[in-house]
Amino acid sequence: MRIAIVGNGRAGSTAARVLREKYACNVDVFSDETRFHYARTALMYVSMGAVAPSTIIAPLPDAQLREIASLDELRGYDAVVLATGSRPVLPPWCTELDADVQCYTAWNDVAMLADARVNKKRCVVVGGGLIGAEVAEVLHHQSVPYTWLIRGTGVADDIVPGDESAMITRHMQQSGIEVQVASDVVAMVREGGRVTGLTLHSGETLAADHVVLAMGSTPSIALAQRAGLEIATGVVVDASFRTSLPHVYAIGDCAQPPWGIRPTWHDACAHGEHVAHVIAGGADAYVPSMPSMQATFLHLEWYSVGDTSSESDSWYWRDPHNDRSVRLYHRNSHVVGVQTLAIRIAREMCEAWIAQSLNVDAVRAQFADAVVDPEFTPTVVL
Amino acid sequence: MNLVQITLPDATPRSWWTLHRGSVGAYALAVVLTGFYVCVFWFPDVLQPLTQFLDPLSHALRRAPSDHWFLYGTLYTGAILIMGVRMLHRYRHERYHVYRTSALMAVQLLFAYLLPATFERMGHQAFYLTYFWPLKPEYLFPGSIDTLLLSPDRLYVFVGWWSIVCAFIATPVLTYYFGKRWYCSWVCGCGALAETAGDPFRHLSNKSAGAWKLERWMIYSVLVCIIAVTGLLWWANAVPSSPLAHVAYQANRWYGFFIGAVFSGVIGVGFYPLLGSRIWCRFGCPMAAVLGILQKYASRFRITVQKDQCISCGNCSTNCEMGIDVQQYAERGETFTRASCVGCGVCSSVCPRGVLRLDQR
Repeated sequence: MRIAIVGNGRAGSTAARVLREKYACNVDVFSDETRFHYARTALMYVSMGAVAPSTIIAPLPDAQLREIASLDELRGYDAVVLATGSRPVLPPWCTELDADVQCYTAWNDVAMLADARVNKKRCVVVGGGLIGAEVAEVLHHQSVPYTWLIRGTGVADDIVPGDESAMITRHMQQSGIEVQVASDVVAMVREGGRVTGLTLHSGETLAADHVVLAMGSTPSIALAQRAGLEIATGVVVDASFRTSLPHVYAIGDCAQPPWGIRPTWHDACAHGEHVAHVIAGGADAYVPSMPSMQATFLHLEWYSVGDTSSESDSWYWRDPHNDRSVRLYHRNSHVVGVQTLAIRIAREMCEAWIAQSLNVDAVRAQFADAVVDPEFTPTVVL
Repeated sequence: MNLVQITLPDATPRSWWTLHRGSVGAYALAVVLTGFYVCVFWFPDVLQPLTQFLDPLSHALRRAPSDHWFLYGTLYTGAILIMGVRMLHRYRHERYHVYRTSALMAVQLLFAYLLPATFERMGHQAFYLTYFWPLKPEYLFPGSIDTLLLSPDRLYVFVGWWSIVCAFIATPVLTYYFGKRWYCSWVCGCGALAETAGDPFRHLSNKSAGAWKLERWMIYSVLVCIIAVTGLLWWANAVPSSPLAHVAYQANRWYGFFIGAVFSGVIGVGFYPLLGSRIWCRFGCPMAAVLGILQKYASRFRITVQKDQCISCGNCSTNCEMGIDVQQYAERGETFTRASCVGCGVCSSVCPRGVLRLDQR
């Protein structure tokens, strides 16, 4: 079988590997970015010099550096897999990227940020989510002068509740990272083609030579749109990742399966592997695992398992002596989600509690069993 | 859209003290360290001014004039204490490292510096109670252990029994419960230097499968050598007229020169800037070989891996001073035990997704 994969991210490269190794398919990977696969989530560690660039790269045999403008270009293939990922959301005041304005989601963004450091540009990071926090940490670590603007009240306040966001914000501030909250940018000031500042909603203008936009992401669907595939937010697929066109599949961040878009590393891996089984092995529908996310804000780790959306009620515990917390999300007191800060939890055990619909008191009683913190960390007693 | 192959970003400084693999600074530092060790072992006169400088301290601690070994011990302990403070600061957010580093610093200062000096002050030989056979093979050699055990001095008898109990009883028991780390990352002086002064070099260890293979060949060869030397010496002791006696003494001399001086000293520390901080521990130490076998086959210790959480960032492998490609296990979600793992716990600390845990439960 000849299979074309568009995109060399985690989903696309996993699909390519499984198709090639397990099913001996003839796979071509097309990317407009790099000829190799790289761990996008690890870009910040390359920027900080914590790992060598080669560490996060995986060779991708038969990868082609080529932008696919239309699916017609891939007519000879038995199947086409769209793994085009996400693209950054750009604000209305800046719809084009250039030498002074960048995002931080791609390989060349690392080089751009390094250039900004070398050229001693004054950096402004806009956005308080995971990427914004990563960039702020990189700039802080590299002693680059920067300002970090957050529209809301604290770091990551769109993914965690206010208490947790406040704890993360305080932790980052205590480590020397400056956060400017409630700062909404309304315009970018340019002189002679170069960025010179950002105007805030307060009317204040902030001097800036270099702007890093970290304002969220959205499925990258341009190719699918041109091909006339059914689109919602992402490319609509069934539980086997089939799009509305025969022999065209979509996986990873760009795909919108019946259970919704889940733009995480693990989901991308699982999609890639499963779509290979569907295409070449006749596999059936994919059964999604329980949602889970992890992130680290400087030294503060965040874990989330199950449904941790704000629609559920929650029971919150904060350690009076240490910066750490537990939040149990529940419906009618049955636990549906677990979220912790600075407490490592065994995901499988949390999933079991949720699957068994244990109530909050039962989970509290056995919570310590699920803690997998390093040794000598004070015990968690809920 | 830019379709040109994108170049790699500039090498970004990790921190000011970090040496890049194969850089001029790395070679320069390696030459300095190696040179110092060569002087200590074979040209101590070169170090005379430094040795003399420590004379007052030597008199205060051991009521004896300073010599090049006292200079070496003082610098070694000083390096562990100063860089230990740096290590404590760097990993202040995690108690495991705070406790472990403090233990290493305290053991070095008390048991490998002040206590041996006190022995000498009391007119005895300097004993190092935290080194056992086969790392300190002479403690179980004939002419040493028998003299100790049969001595009228109770202190000597204690030291003799201590050597035997630590080598043959404490080692397997503690390794069963805690893994190799109880020694390599909490007690041992070589480990103490690697974990403190060697921390800036930990990323330089070779992670390739070839290095792993070489490591197994080398470390078990050294173990076989020291077992053979010890056996020969005891044979020669039992049958002094045997022609083997001469072979035994020669073998011991060669072992002392090649393994004791050249490998564990000159290369073991001198090559920190080139091959990473645990060269001796990884490729040579016979104690590590014994502990590794015990850890692999008779220990509760393992590194547990949370499935499906690894993001392939490579921080764990980069920071493994023993050259273990931890990332491979993390990506596969595979809990593992490697004989070489000294349980320093840095892989677990640098993981941004909480995937790894040192486990003995």
